[in-house]
Amino acid sequence: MAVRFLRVVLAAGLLGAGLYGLAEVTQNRPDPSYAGQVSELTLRVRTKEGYAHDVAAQGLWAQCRHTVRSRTLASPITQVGAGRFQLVVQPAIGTHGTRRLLGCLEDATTPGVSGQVVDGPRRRPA
Amino acid sequence: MNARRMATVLAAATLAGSGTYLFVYLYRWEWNRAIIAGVFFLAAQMALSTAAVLGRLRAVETAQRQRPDAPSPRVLGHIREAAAPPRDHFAWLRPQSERLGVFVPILMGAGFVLSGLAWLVERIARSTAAPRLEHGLAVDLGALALPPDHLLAGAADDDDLALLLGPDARARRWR
Repeated sequence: MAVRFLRVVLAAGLLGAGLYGLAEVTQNRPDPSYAGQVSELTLRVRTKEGYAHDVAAQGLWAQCRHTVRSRTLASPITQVGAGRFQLVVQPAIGTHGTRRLLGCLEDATTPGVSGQVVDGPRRRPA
Repeated sequence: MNARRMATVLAAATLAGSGTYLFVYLYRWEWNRAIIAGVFFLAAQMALSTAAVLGRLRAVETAQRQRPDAPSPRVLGHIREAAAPPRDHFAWLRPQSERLGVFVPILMGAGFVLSGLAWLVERIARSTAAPRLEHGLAVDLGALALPPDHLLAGAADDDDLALLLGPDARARRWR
């Protein structure tokens, strides 16, 4: 009886700890302010059926900028290689904002377009 | 490993993988992928649940098929020993019963009362229904009645029809 009770308590404790941990890592929180800094990242874009890469990169940013709220691009999106584009976001984004932006950019948000952040985002002074 | 076991293992692996990636995609804020992983998770769950139910049904069928035709004498003996004693439905009719035998007098009294009621109804019906029925019957039969001057009215004046009135009428005619 006591062993069974201990097992139930242990199982409940493990389940509670798992749920708490899951909530901790998935919960969204506000980031600190990074005024005067920018975040730059390199986005690699793959498209299908002749979808222009630069248009796809613009479309991905347009669809995902809501995840970092009022931030804007410090400079226009510039192509830095074959299918690679650099985005400079101001003000800089924190840990949670980075997770939201990368999740949107790398998710299958736009049909026929696949994005992957291959570098960054890194914070630097504006 | 048979095909059924392989399918179960595959479904279990899909369940575990899709369930894990559901939370991974949620952590990464990749909602579209999380939705797809969730759909796979639910599909694998349904497949495993259906397989479990079908497995149980199959086990029941097998048990039914392997059931012996003749019952075990030991089990049969236990069942017969545990059977309830037969119920005596007419114990109240026995004179040694301790209950008061009021049922038969009540039955007789009810029969008497019902007979009286039936007699009363019959008397009322006879006095009210018979005149009405006779009136209706007379009206109905009136349509079938013969004409007042029988069917051979005027036949005495006709030679051929006079034959139908019989020899007397004909003799009277020739007289």
